[in-house]
Amino acid sequence: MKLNPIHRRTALKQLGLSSLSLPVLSQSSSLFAKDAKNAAPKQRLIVMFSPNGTIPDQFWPEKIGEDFEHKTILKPLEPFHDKMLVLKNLHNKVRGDGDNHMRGMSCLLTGIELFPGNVMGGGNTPSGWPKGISIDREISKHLQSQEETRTRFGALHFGVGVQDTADPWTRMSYDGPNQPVTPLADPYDAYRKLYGNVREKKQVRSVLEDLRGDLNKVANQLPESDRKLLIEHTQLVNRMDQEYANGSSLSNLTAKPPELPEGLRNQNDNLPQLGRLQIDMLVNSFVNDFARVATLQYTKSVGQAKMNWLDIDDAHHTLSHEPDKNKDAYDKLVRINTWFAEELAYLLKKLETTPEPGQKGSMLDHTLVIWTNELGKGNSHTLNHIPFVLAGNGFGFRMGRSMDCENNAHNRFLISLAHAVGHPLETFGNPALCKGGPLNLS
Amino acid sequence: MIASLCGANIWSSPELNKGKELYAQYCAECHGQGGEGVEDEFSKPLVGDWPLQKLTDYIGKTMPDYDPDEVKGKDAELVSRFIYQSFYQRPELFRKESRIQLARLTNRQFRQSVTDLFAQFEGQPVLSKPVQGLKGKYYNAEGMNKRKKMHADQIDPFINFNYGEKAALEGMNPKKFSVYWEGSVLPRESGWYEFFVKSPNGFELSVNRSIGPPTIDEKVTAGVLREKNTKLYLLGGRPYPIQLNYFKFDDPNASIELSWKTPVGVKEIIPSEYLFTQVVPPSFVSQQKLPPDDASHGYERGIQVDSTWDESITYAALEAAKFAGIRMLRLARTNEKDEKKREKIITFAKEFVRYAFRERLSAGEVDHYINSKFGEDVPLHISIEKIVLLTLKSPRFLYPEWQSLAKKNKDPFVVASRMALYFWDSIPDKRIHSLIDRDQLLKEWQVEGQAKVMLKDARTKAKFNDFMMHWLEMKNKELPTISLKKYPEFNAALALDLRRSLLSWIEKSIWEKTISWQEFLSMDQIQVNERIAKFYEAPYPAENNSSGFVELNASVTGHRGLFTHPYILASHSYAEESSPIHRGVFTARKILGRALRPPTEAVSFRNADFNPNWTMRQKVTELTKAANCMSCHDQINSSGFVLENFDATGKIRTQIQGKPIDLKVEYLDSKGEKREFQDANDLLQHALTSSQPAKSFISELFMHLAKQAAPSYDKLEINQLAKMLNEGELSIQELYLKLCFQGASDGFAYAK
Repeated sequence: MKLNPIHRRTALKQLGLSSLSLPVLSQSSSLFAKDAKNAAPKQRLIVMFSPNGTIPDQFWPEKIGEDFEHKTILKPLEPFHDKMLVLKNLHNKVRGDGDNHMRGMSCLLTGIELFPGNVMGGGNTPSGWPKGISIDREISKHLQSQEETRTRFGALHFGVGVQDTADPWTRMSYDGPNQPVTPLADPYDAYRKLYGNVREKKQVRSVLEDLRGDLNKVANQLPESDRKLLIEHTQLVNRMDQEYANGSSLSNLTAKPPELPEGLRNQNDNLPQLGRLQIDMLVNSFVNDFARVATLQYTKSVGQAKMNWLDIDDAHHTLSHEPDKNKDAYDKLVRINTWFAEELAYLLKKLETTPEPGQKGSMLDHTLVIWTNELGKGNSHTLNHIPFVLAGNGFGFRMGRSMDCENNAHNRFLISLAHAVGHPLETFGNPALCKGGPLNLS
Repeated sequence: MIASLCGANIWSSPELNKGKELYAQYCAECHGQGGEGVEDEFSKPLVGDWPLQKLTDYIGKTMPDYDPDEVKGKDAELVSRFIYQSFYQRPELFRKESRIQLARLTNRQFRQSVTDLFAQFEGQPVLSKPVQGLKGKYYNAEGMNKRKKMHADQIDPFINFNYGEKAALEGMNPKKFSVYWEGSVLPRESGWYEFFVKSPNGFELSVNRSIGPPTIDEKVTAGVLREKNTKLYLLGGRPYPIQLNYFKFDDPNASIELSWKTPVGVKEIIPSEYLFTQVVPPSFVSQQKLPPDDASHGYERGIQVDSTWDESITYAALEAAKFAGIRMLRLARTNEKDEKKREKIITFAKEFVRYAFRERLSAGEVDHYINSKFGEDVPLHISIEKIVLLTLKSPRFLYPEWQSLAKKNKDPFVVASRMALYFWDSIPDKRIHSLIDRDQLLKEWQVEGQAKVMLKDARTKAKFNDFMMHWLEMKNKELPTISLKKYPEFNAALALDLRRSLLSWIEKSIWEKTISWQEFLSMDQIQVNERIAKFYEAPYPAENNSSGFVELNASVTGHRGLFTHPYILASHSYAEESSPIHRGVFTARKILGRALRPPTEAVSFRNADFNPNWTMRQKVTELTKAANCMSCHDQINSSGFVLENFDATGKIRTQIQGKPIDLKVEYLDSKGEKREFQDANDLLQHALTSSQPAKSFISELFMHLAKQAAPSYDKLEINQLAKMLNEGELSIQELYLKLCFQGASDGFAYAK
């Protein structure tokens, strides 16, 4: 996108870039003086998604400002109060094809309409994939285009309990029109992508002792002249043993890969552990600077996780359709959403206690985490009041408060994200929804 | 060596003694004292199938190579007689090992065995009622359930529809409809298959899926035409389930194409002859790439292990282990709620190891390979993964002959595992294990009975196909590329049709018509489809079957004789011209059973080097006239010149450059008799009446079946089988049976 100088300046002013940059820059000013390239503070973005709307009166703080209160669902995030920014009254105003679950999910990060298409939504018009790129990929593309911010993967997409289907309900990241990005839903696949086949090597090594014994036994029963091949084979086994002993083939890792437990299956009952594994790998991949952008997607829009670990046997989406007066369903949904907040708290804690390699502060000081949802409320399917809870200081927003976004379109928020990483887009997604430019989050 | 081997009578003859002296003086330096060869000189043993006279002529003209004048006339005769009688005709003298050797599974054996191991639990996919095409279920779409209201079902021979703005069938809603096609796909050969689906609408393709997402998932569309593809390794001769879920929902246009690209082929709509309406269970097929096997002796065998192989096998074993872990409940025929789940999974593991090891397991072995891998705090699927990984890497699985070498008395397991390898390249199945358990594989009639059952299995056909492609030099070979400038209609599609015409004739003739050796070599029929018929100017009946191929009398197109099939001729041609050399080598080796050595010095043929007015025959004659060339080229050229009435595409011609074609050749057979061939038919008649072609075919077939050399087997009677073949007493199918049966039971003492 081309901006003439005046526009650019206007845009920066609107964003309040000077104040935006301050907290981060001041931290690393000493480094900045020494080596401009190394001193640029790292900026990282994580988008965490949980589905099916929230329970608004147990979620949204009543107060606007620094002394906002933490109701039941946001209670687990209280320790991070000073690093949080709760965006109230921000709406997904993208209309057109697709039902609200589809648009809620696929327009969440793209801010643009879905193509007319063939996937039939619930009661509404059918749709195809969105018409544009999602903000996480846009930011990653921008960071990858510059040498100083380029990383091995750019962006990583983790899934927790995401089904094997490809449709607008299950994808939120897009590389462009009609280009869904598939999240890595199996931690073992993610592990292989990040660190190579370490796990497989370990598994192979665990049978090599038995195998040597086997080769020896068989060879001893053969006539002398036939043993040659088996002796050679045994040498290969020894060789493999030595080679595989080194584990990861990646050298220069800042942090060792997290321990991956054996045999955790990618199924509903394991969602809590699967999620934690994915979070551990996500943070580890940041420490190793494999990527600056990540998404963490719990199930999908219309996701039907059965949260047995919360003593809930009902499927999530089905529950979310229950009217408010169904007390049982209401309580369960509060528990479900609170659980997601706990998982977010785990992520934040992890980031907070991890120092940012080579730079001052913790990783949370360099990261912006966004927790969001495709709907404002499950049973009404509204796209208004989309939950956007931000945490971390990575993007220089003024944290420690709740903010009234004055019923604006969420596109403006997406633009602010781009501006915060020095990518001053004029519009993002549907231009008509971008009037007023980036939200002032400083 | 010679003294001990050849007996005293040779030394009593002064003439032979003189020959021996001459040999020692002029030949031994390069050929070794006993004809065994000398490293860096002429390293191969001095053996062959030339008649004595030819050997004498050759030595007289060309030997010794540093000065051919040194040995001439009478001396040449003496030395060649010595060579001829002492070792030239006795290749067995030089065979280092004439016993069965330990070898690992070849790639084909490995893949096939692993697939069949899982099939013992998933079910062997069999097409019991083969009907060509896929079953299509047509639905009017309403709401989210695309398959709620079925409008009609029908068999579609292939999937290539352009509905435009209309509905798939009359009377359906043109705006919203869906079709669900299902059935199976039966590839002929093993290798990498690329599947393509092209449509502006929604689609989902699954080929051989039992776990994980569909092979191609393109449900979501904005009505824009797009093509998606994916590559899969498939084993030939085995049906796989295929499902194509297609739907139109308000898109402006509707069309759908299902194509593939076979290992040797070009992208095409999947022809109906590979599609069947019957749904079969999926098979586990390893997608791991494996390094090629040693093929230095003309057949693939597992005589080497190296780290690339070890690593590839390890990855393949990991892949199988992961599959077993995911698919465990199904494989063990249990479910999460089953009280006996654990017990059933352990039973599955025991059976898996037993089938893989081709053996009954002792109590100690059960403890070692299975029980010790299960533990209270180990998840079941982790135990299963470990067991499968260890089993598939174990020498007990990877070296199938080890038991036969370890056991003094061969037992029924040795016979059964050999039969499974020889017939199928696989493991003995559940049924055979149960026969052994009941002592029903001990007597000769029992073993022979089983051999007959195994012969009828689709895997036997698949393995024979694999041999045929090897024997006909088609395996993994690109399609012939004939100049489109000169022959605009000989495109890749036609070449692919011809390949199918040949392979499908062989398959049908061997397995349905149980043809004899004579019928096989003669190839009295040729399969043509419309494209072939048009190009080779053959009549094509208006009515045809769904595959489009019909069988004509081969004399109609002038292609009687296997070696004159247009695919073989075109494969042995230059881009614009016939190649008598390539055709001659093929025909001499395969049809006449002659042993040809590779040329000592490679000479390439360059058309531009010759007078453009010459015929190919004149050019080749000129190129190969030197005596050392002619030693082999007299056989090659005569076998090739006799095919000069076929142009580069294998089409009959009567003239070359406006002149009549000189087909007549003189051919010196292996007994030293001169024969005159007027045309390809004379050559065929000679092949049918001499024993050499049959013998050579049998040994090649046996090596391919057993991956061992024929002389290592005492029971094998190649000469007698060749005689029976020549006399029409054995069909090729029966030959296959006898070879497997005799080879597998070698060394086994039948119960009385």
